[in-house]
Amino acid sequence: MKHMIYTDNEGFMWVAIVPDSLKEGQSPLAYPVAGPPDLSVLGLSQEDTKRLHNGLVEKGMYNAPALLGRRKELMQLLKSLGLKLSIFQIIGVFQQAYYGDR
Amino acid sequence: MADTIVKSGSSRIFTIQFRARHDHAPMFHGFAVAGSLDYGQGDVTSIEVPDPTRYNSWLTASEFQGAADRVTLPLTFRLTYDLSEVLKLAKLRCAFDVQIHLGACTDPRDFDLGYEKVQVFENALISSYGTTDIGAMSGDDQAGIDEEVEISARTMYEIIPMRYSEVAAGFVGQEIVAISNGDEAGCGDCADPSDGCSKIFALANAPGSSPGVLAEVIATNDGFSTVVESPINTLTLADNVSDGAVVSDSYVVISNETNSLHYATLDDILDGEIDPWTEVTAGFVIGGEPNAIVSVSPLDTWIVGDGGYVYFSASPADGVEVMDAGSATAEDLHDVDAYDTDNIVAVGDNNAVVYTIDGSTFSAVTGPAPGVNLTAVAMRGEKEWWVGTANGKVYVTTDRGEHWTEKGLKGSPASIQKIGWSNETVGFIAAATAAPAARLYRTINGGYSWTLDPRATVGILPAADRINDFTFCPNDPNKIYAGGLADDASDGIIIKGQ
Repeated sequence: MKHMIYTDNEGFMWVAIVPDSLKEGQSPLAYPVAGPPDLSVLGLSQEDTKRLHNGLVEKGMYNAPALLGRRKELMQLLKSLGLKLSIFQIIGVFQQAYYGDR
Repeated sequence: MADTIVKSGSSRIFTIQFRARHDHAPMFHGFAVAGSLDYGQGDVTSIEVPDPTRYNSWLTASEFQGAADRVTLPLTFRLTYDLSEVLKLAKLRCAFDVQIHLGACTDPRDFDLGYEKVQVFENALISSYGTTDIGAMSGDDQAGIDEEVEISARTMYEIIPMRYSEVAAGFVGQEIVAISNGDEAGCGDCADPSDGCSKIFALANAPGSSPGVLAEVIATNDGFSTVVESPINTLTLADNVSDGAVVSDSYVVISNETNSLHYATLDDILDGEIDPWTEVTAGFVIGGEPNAIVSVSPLDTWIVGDGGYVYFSASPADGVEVMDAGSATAEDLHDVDAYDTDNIVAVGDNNAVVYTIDGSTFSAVTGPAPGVNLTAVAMRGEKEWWVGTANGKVYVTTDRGEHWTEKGLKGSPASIQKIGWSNETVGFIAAATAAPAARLYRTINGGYSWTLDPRATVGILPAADRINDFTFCPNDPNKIYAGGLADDASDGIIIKGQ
């Protein structure tokens, strides 16, 4: 299995888990999405949510394990996007999606 | 001073009769010099095998090294009209400690601050005593009379002023509640070669953010040059953790909130395995939620908790068994330390102190501060316990709590978080002022005197609200890792001292 990035109709980028045999150009839509999780809970505008969402995908930060050891990068991303969020808000959303609301 | 060559005139001698201890004052010997020390490290013997390619020839297949010898050191004292202190030491035939303080621009009589380096000779005995010529037959023979002794010490090591710096700053976003050394010194026969101070595990609490975040272990394989994070996936988001310890090849986390322990192997944590954690609830009792853990061997771990509960674990994977269900004390216990598998002491709220001398039967003894919560305990010996309080006091007993002595600390700390002994001579205390601001104290004489570390001429302690825990390196009292709450009251901090 490998990861493939695609963009949906609304401009959100997603990381899908696809078979190694899937060729470039073939649609990954039938395969499970690895992330990122729904960021709407952060209360950002639609535009900021999309910028953050896509920024995370571009950095390869699409689920909780992918954030490990990358707090500095995450902080820099938030800064570059001009978003006044704590990295823990992001990590919390990612962990909630990955580990479940236990 | 790092590259400054030490001259022989830059040394002065202190002795500590009956060895370093909180009530044994170091004695300065201004009219004394040390000779050349001899510290044999053990003969190296080759193991040979016949050379398969030549008759009457052998190859070295391996080698082994014998045990290190005792350290011997000649000391020379100018004889004075006072009673000889060194003759007294020789005739007492009791072990004592010798410290040679090396310095340049400070007052050598200042035991705590008058050195740039100290050579410590522990557990010394005088193997010979003599003098130079006591009489002079003629004026040409006139000379000062010297006492000459040779000491034989069990071990010798060096102490230098410590410097502290923050490490892993980009990774530590949550308060560090515990920090442990999971490394073993070795030459590479059984694992990677290591100085025994490279694999460090720091337990970071869940931040108070919304949505919640998992508490995690921040670990390193190389003294925090590189760092891995391991979220404790068996916790619920935002669950707080209480303490952690290395137990054999695992790191064990206890949580008062989950009333359980969580463990993962050190290798899995260091390898960045996803979700390596396992939760164990077996044996924990409601009302006895765990607060502190200490482990002295793979088979001997103690956990103390609310309601005076004491648990024992022979294997974290199998859970815990109740050793004391709050019968010695019903107070919440907050810290525990073990000297060996028989001698364990725990302290807690309302002056509670409980201990065992057989590893299983716990008894209460009256603590040093009636009505005050005790927050830290460290055992320097079977009978010598150091206790810190929630109101910033430190007490020591050398008779299992029958008598307590308060040890004063400069700067009037408002609380004590941790006391620990790197070896029999060097110890540390983590405290905080009312501000709050973290303070670290160090002793190099078994607790007789404590000074703020680092000394002002060397540097400053990275700013922090408090240091909750620290861990040492085997065979190196000049290295420490500490963790706590950064000075913004929210971030965590890991500090490396060396």
